[in-house]
Amino acid sequence: MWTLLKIELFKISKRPRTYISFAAILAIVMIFQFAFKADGENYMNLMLQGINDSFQLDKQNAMNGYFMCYIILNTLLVQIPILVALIAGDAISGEANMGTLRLVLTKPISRQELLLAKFYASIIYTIILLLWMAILSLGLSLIIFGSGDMLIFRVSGEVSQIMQITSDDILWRYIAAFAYAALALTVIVSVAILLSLFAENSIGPIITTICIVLVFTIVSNMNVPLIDKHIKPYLFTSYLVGWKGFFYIATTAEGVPIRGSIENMNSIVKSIIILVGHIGGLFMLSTYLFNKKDILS
Amino acid sequence: MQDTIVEVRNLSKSFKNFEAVKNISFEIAKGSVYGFLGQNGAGKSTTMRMLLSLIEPTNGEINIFNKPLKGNEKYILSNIGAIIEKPDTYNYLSGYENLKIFSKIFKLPSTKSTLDKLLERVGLSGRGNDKVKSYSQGMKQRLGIAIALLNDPDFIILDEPTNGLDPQGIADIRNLIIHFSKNEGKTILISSHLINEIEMVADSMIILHKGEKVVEGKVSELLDPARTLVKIESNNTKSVIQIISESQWVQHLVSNDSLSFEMNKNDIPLLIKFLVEHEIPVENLKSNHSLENYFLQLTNS
Repeated sequence: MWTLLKIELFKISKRPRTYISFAAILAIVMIFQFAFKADGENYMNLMLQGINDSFQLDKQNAMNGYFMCYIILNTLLVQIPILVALIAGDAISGEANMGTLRLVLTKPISRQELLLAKFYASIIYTIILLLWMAILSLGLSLIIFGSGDMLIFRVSGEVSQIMQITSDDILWRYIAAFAYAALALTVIVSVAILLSLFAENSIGPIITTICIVLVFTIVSNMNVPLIDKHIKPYLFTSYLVGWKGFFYIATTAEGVPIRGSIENMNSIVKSIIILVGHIGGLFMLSTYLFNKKDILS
Repeated sequence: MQDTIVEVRNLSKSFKNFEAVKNISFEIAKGSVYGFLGQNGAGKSTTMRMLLSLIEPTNGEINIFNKPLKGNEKYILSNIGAIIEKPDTYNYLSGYENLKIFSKIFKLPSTKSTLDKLLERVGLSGRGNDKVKSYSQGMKQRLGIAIALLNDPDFIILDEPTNGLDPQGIADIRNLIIHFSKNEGKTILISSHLINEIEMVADSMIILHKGEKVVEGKVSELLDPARTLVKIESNNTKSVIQIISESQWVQHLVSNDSLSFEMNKNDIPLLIKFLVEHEIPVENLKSNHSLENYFLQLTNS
């Protein structure tokens, strides 16, 4: 299994398309950082419009590396599934297209082992992509913008809220958020690999995965009671942004943030269970179908 | 009696409403070269894919190395080398990298000297570092064969291995097959849609047509020179038949209204002599084996 995984990682590392995602993240993050460095104060003014009179905030300090990372994650974690689908959607279909699937499967390895190796390799790729994103959006932002307490702007229904997390209480939240994002993106990997079984070129599974994520995300963001109750709970996209929960800090009755706390841990745990369930279900279905599949490519 | 490496019984495969392979049975003896002959769509590749566990049979049994394929895939595949249809490899990797990947799957040493020896064996010396996408079709075929030979298999399956090759490439592959069989004692299953290709390398063969077994046997018996079909073209067929019917050659006539004979290939000069002696005007004389003729009829039908 370890050998197969190393082979899969080697193959991924040798394909130019692998590096497109890293280049895309680098470009997006640097554009963000440049824009905020150049004109961040206007952004803060816009965000703090209406509460400027009630609170006295140090805008210069609020525009720090932690805040930048949060802004970048909010934008990028919606796009990352597309980059993940580029690799996972190619896992089986790319080999079928090249004709190497039949070559590999005439060797003494089981289909389950091959699928598992491709699944793990796609997850490792996703984690490396997230680490790259963490280095750029958090590490580089801290170097450029410095450290400090972090402000979270939260809109819940018609209520807008600003929460402040002290600088010594932030890093673990980012580690947890990136770990959660890795889990959420593993669902995308599972969807893409499942679709990859049915195609003999990688374009189809990649585009279909992206379409599924787009449609599900739109539905997940609709505020219709019927959809809220009967559809959203079953869509994995409803749980993709669950990482934000790590930044929603619990407060005392007087509204004072409690250091090291999370407002709704149960919701995060529930989301994790649902995501893991999706991954397990999709992977088992993929294994079943792959074992049954006639290799005609 | 020779040991049997492959034993196939009542093998069938259906895809939805299409029956690709219909109830075929055959055996392959250890150390022999067995030919699969048939036009495109005859069921050759489907049968080979079933032998390699790439396709699940609808019915039938496959035993390889005296074990049922089902449930023993890993053991059986570890002793098989195969090229199915095209010798596709990872074209974004070099020849060495491709060989290394498959060496690792077989848990074999993949030192440069080992791989160099293998590349030399298939005539790819000095090209190991080049990306496969820069290889010609013939070089890709050779690399495919090198991958198939990595594990020093007892049984080699080659599906149309000479497709797309130039005459020199075809001759090289043919010599390799003969070498593996005669000098290394390997059992080889080779498919082709060309009878002469099978005739040159195979000991036994099976002809498949539209998924069914048409004929099976030893090549030496099936392509016995005694069953050569000779066809003569003349501008006066009727009178020639008249002359023939009064001679010893009448026993070789296939029908009474055409100048077709089934006879020993060695007797063709005698027939020509007879025709010349009787001043029979001959416009053309063609000879081919009756099985080849039969196969060509199948192919053209």
